[in-house]
Amino acid sequence: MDPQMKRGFLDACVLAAVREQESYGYQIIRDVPASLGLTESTLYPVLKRLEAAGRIVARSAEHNGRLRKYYHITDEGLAQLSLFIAERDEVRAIYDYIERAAQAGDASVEGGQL
Amino acid sequence: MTRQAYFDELRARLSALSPDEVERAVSFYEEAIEDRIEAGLSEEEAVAEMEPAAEAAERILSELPSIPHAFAQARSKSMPTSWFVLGIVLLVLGSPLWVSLLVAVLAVVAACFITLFSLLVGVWALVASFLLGVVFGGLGLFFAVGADSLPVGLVSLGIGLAMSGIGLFGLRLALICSHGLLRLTARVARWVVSPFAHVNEPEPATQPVQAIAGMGPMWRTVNVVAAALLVAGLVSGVVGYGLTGFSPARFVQANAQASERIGKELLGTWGEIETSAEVQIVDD
Repeated sequence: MDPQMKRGFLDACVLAAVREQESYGYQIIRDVPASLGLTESTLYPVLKRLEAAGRIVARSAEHNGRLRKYYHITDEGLAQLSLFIAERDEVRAIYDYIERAAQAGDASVEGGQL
Repeated sequence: MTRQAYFDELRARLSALSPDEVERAVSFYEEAIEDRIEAGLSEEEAVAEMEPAAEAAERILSELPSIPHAFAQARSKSMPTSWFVLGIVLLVLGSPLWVSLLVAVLAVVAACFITLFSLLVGVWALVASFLLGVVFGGLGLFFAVGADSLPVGLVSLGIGLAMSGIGLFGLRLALICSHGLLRLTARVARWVVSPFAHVNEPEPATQPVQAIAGMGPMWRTVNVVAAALLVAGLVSGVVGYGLTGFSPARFVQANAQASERIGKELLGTWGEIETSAEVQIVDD
């Protein structure tokens, strides 16, 4: 996927991954769609940013004799997520437009060849 | 690569950050590697799945605002110390240039803020002066009646009332203007601060603007009062002018007479005060 587009989806995907129940770094990476190509290095700044903005909270808990950091969505994060979902129709309209324009272009090229 | 070697490199490249920040980042990668080992990978494989420490560090640093970012890069141990020293020397040698540039930039920023602030003050001063119209109109009526010239008094009251009416209408306009100016000021401030620190963009606040621009019950009342003042002013002015038979010449004459009388009266009062002061001195 285009890196700029990926960036836009990143925050929403991470929020979605910690929505139902709390989750941790490796789990989040396995949960989000593989097409995002999420790695620890990309995830770390996103988590930090979301936490600073109060959209997720983090807590450390023991796991097999070591500490693991768990993240969970806040009300603010939930609001952000529903905003993102609300944009779906707008995004779809843009896709429709691009698709229509591309098809019209194809048709005219074919027409020219005939 | 062992995880220890990976963490050492990460620590070195993040050395410009605070120790807390460094530990936070390192423990994040520690957890990532441990989780992979737990999932069945060897230490070597787990570390290999991580992005190279240089890239990982750069991503963390790239989240910093531009100026701290540049400093962090300059101070990271991946850059030879001699280069850093050279950078400092150049910074000092170039100070006549960049200090004056900095002063110029600061002056422009200050000018922006002062301009925005003066506009704000100007808008409210204008509204306040219009609102005060009713006071001056009232004073005009009081003195003109004292000087036996009701028409002039009514016209001055009328002008005062109408001005206050316009001022009341303008109140809402001034509020919208101030709101816009304040938002502009905040935007300029964010723009100035952004190279140094992250500033969260505020959520688009369309609500207050709509509340001000829309016709709330309060604003409806204010508008009704303003309209009433305007109408009362017009009526008072027309009646005053009508008392002179709608004749400009007679009104100008009446106005001149009233001014003269008021002037004399005021001077007379002043004279009385002076005389009474003298009397007091004599009494003493």
